[in-house]
Amino acid sequence: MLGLVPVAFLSRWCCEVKPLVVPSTADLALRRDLAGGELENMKTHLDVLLLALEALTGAGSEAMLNAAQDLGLMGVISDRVALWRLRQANPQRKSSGGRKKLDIEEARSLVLIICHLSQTHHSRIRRGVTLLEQMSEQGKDPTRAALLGDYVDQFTNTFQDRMETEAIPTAAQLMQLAFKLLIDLMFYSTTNGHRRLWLALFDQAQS
Amino acid sequence: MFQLTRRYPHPTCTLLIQAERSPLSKWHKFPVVKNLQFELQVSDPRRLDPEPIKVWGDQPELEHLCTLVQDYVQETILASSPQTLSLHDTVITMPEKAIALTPHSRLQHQLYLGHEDVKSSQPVIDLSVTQLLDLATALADFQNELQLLPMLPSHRTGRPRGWQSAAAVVLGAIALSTGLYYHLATRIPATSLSNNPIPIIPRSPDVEVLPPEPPPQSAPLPTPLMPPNLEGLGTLAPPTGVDRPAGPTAGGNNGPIMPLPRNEVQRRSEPAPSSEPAAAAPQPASANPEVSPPPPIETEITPRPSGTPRLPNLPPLQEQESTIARAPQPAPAPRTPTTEATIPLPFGTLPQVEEVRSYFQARWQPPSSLNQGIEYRLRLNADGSLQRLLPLGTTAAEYLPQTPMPRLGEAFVSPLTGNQTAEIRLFLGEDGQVQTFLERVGN
Repeated sequence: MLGLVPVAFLSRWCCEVKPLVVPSTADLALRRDLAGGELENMKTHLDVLLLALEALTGAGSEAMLNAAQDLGLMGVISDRVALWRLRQANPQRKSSGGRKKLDIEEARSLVLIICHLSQTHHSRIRRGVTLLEQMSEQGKDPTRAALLGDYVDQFTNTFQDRMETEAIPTAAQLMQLAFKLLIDLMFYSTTNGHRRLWLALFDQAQS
Repeated sequence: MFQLTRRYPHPTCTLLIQAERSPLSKWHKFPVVKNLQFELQVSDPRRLDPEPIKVWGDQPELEHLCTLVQDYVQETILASSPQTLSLHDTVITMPEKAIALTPHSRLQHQLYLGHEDVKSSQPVIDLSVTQLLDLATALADFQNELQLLPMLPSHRTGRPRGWQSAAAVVLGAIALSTGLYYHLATRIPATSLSNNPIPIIPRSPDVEVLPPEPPPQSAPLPTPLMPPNLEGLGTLAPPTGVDRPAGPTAGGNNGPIMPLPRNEVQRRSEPAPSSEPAAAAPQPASANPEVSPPPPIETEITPRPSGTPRLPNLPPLQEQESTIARAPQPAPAPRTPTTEATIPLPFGTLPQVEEVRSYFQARWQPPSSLNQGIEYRLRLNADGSLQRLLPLGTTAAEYLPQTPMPRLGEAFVSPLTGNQTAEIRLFLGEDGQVQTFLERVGN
């Protein structure tokens, strides 16, 4: 009890400081117990989001490891192999052995990394969504815009390369998925983005 | 008590907050505020109108808006599957809730502000997904930075408990006896000066608050007399009342101290461009308040004047600036069609523009209570049905049920050629006049 007094006293002098949202795994509380299938869905969703980020920004495993370092997550994702094994946890991936189970702490870490990279590339993501709006407003094919065309091509090719054949949807569905992920990444690139993604993971895990 | 002002600017949406900083802030990490008022300024980079749409209100409305927007983003956008919402607009129905967000597509959303306590310069706001992002982020920034004091309920429900009643009776008795004691104690010296007992006259409570009577005048006051030249004139009749604009009244104890919506009187009072450039360039129709509604758009496509155009004299900038507190809103001037569509469009006209006019001309019966024209923006599907409907202004939203508006998705004009869509602005005058203007044609 006595230990609380100096903290409360100090807070009087801290009230002028504009609080910044520093993303932390502590913000990502477990909302409920996950069933087995739900955790699988979460793994898939996280991996596909990273794939979309890769396709749009070119951020590969090096950028992801740097993000992990910036966020102090090296204890969870220490090197390239650990990252690769985490992404391989997606059950839709072409299995090449070494698949590990994704635990909830690793899921939290991936959420923070995705949001960190989204913030880093916020301008490009927003530019992509604005282009999508403009092309749609004009009734034009969005992929005629270079940025969007390259993104969809890259996303489609990588998805087809890395996922099991039965998990690959049609080209039209893949394009729809790519644009949905682009819009989602825009929301994850702002204040509270990590909380939004965490909640969305739970919501989508049920479906 | 300190006044606290915050501004959360984002590319298409700015949130302004004005609140009182509570002394409790000393003990909190975040500033604790109360008596909060907000204004949201939403701008659309796709529109040429530089005036942002404004939404304002008090703390409960802001909390309501925060919950609505954050839940909508989470549930409708992020948690939905790619197939749930397409990229293309779909027909929607008007929401039943007073404040609601509804998706047209994954990229287009509509915010309805039909709540009587949320004031808005436009009751239905079209939001692109980037505008929605800015709105959600501004609200999240505010939520992260400030902590609101819980509002105390204005009316206590239920009966007070027994011990509360007893405590109130005891406190009342103590206060009464103490007051009586001091009252008597202060009166004793005064009464001791006189031997006559003071007559106790029962007095009504109203008399107690009246000031003492003035001493009697030594001479009667002179009666003012009318000058002889004015004496013969009759009394002027009192002026006739001014009709108040129909609309939601400002409710509650909080007066609208936030900036008012776009002021039509101010817009109409903008000085006309000088006559010199008028000879070289077509004069904007909005410059003269006496001018009748502008002719249909197709007649306004004029060739670009040769020579260097000269800018008209614009009103001073400070007149248009938004301030956090502004003078009371003047009564709205009679509405005439706005002149946004005077921009030459790169296409001709469509037969549907005239068909829409004919449709409404045959059906429009202006209600007797309507004292100004109302405008709507209609978006037509390729099959000639109504895809979207946007009332322009509060009055237009209020009178929407009394207009002969066709249902969404129901074809009421001939199909458009190809796979086109069209946006048409509809003006319904209070005198039965109907005008239509083509604003946009899309594919």
